[in-house]
Amino acid sequence: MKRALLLVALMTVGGAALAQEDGLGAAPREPTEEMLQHCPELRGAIGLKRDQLLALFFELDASSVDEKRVRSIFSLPRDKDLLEGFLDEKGRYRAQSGLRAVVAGLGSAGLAWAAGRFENGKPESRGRALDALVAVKAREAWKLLEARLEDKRPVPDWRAANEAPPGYKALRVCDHAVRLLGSRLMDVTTPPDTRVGSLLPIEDRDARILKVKDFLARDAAYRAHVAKAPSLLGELDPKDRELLEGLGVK
Amino acid sequence: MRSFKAVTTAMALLLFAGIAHPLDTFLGGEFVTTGTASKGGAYTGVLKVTPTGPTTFRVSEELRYASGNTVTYAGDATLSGDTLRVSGETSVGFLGKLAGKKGEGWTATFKVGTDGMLKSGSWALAKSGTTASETITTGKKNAATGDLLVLLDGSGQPVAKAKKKTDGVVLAVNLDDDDKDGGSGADGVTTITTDRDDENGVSNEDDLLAFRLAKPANAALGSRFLLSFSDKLAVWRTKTKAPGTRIKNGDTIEAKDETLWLEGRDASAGGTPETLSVQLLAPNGAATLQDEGKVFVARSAFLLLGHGHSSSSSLESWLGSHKADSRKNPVLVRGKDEKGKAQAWAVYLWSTEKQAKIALSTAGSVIAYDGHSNFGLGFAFETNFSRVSQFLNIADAQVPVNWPYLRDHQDHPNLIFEDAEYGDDASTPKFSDPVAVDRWIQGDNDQYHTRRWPAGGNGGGTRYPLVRGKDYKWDDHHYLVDSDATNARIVVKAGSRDMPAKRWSKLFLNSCYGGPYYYDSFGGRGTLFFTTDEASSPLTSAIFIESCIEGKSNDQTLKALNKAENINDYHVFGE
Repeated sequence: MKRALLLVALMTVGGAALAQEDGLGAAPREPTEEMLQHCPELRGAIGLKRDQLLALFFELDASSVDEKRVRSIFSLPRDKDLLEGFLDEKGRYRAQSGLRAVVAGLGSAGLAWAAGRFENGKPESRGRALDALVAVKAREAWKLLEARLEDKRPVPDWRAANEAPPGYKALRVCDHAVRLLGSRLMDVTTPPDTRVGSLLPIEDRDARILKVKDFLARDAAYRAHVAKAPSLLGELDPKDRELLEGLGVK
Repeated sequence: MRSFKAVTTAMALLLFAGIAHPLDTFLGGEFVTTGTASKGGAYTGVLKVTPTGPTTFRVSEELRYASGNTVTYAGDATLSGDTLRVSGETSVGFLGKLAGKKGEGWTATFKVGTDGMLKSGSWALAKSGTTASETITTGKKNAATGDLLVLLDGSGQPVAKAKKKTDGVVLAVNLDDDDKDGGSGADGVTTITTDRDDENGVSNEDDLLAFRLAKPANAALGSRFLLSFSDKLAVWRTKTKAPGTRIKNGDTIEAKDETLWLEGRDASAGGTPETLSVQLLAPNGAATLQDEGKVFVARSAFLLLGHGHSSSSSLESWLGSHKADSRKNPVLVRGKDEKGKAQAWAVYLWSTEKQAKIALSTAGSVIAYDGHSNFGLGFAFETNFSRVSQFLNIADAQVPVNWPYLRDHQDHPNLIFEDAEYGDDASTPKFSDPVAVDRWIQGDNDQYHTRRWPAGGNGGGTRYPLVRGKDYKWDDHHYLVDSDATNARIVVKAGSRDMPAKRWSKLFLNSCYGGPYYYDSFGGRGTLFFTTDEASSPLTSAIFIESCIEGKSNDQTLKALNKAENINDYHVFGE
């Protein structure tokens, strides 16, 4: 028995060492220097915190959400501070892909959290909160983004303002929304140009958003897709339903 | 009994001497013919016979008449006994085919000798009634196939016989500098001598692929191997390319069991791998056995990781599940080219200025740069720069930068621009009064506004005088963004002295505002993909490289990029 256990232990260590040496495939469980550059929080992290950081930064795939995996290591409201920190931080939106996967994987809880952060969080985090909905298949995500095409509130971006070429004007909520809708619509239909950037004059952005709004109102493929999309409304708390209604999701 | 013993003894002697057995199977070859046609007269010809099965062949004959006329016949043939019967047609040429023309029916018969050589033949044309008889004067027959060549994959495992001529092996072009003697790639140095062109041997060389030659047990004493391969390959006796150990195409070497080394020199065209062939030559020079294998020399794909990059883990994960074998940096992958043809790819994850110069000057490469834009000043593969020249200078002549931001938030806390490096309009006597002019850059479907700062001025544009900082030199500026005193820009002289010869095929500038900042630096060549806004996605560099490897079109690639982060565009400049 002891020998068997020793053999298993040796194989486990050897396997991990091989995986680390290979450097390809699944993220090594011991963070490399490069991984630590992207996620300094990993240094010294152990247990659940480490699993969450590895998942957020290196493992979760928003294009193919592993709900079981997400729910095994994330839950709300337990992890709201961790996730909110990445919405608020200055600099690059480091956890963009991982947060999309977490929000989608947590179902109604993820939707409610992202909507709540959008409406009640810092203005600087509105764009990221909407971005976190990109992988949510539910009808409510579509409706929320579509409703936000009317929302001209600014989304201050300290990093962009300091890094941009001449002509920069901060994106607004509606700019984020049309861009994100564009990403989601790629597999559904062919909308007019949804690329709206911070160097595009405001009046030009408004003209594009108007075209997209008209398109969404008329396009049969889009309307059918949204009608068939699953709904999370029935799983939401009354206060979260109320929040979404306030954001135009009916 | 005595005659039987005599025959077997003779056969044994013939085998020992390496002379072809009198009952050898006809294997085709290339033969020179002379003949006379009933219409046209005397001619000489080149007759090519290529096996397509145990007793079937593809035959073509190009005839040159004394009058100077040439004509080509081609058809399919079957061997029955000692007679090769061909049925085909005359060639109408490419234009004729386009015009829907059909050739005239051609039938031919050739006699095959017991030595595997064609002896004589006759042919006839159906429509014109022309007939001819010909003799084969010289020729080279194909040798029997034997196990002379063992290809080894990148994990050192022999390639199965059935796959040697189909899947073969994949090999990277030897474009790195393992022994670090190809040049430093320092400021202004744009030419690096890669290991491919290193004629002094390469210590630590790790890009060659071993293969084995196997001498048949019954090969005659004095047999030799003849190696044939294209100029996209090189063969070496030593792994380190020691001088004097190269075996050239067409060289013969002593036939023995031996390990040699393949080097990739240039990428194979899509769908057209290289053929490494080996012939066993008898002491009299006759080819008795032949063998061959396919070698796909890979095109190169680079992920250049600059300071501020968004992680290579997405690409590493994809490579982990698509790699051909255990080789690393480059990882070898079987993919496609833009036309959907089979193409091997060598994928490099590199992160130095020298490596960036190699990548940009590699013919046909696809490259994603992932890192800070540094306001168009150039790429940084390290931090803590103190002067402009330490950046990879591949920029416009003058660019506006956020100096305090570079110092305080992009890890260059000691960065200093001297007055002489401040941007200027050289056409005026005033110090540091650069002029901004409008510029529109072209995407696939859209145009994007930006500004440029020509060094000589151009009589138009908006002039910006220098404003000196109160307390620190790095507060000197030419303008404030939205009148915000904490968000200033100073125009500095940049330039492109680090830009090597531009040879890439596709390039993705995956840095913030990559298009507005670098469109003119990298434009004019190949296909340029670029961001148009602040970039965050950790996936898009990988998506770009994977799309190239999978042979996706530009539009498909753009769609995949914008699904992840809807800020990208591209423009095709052509070669």
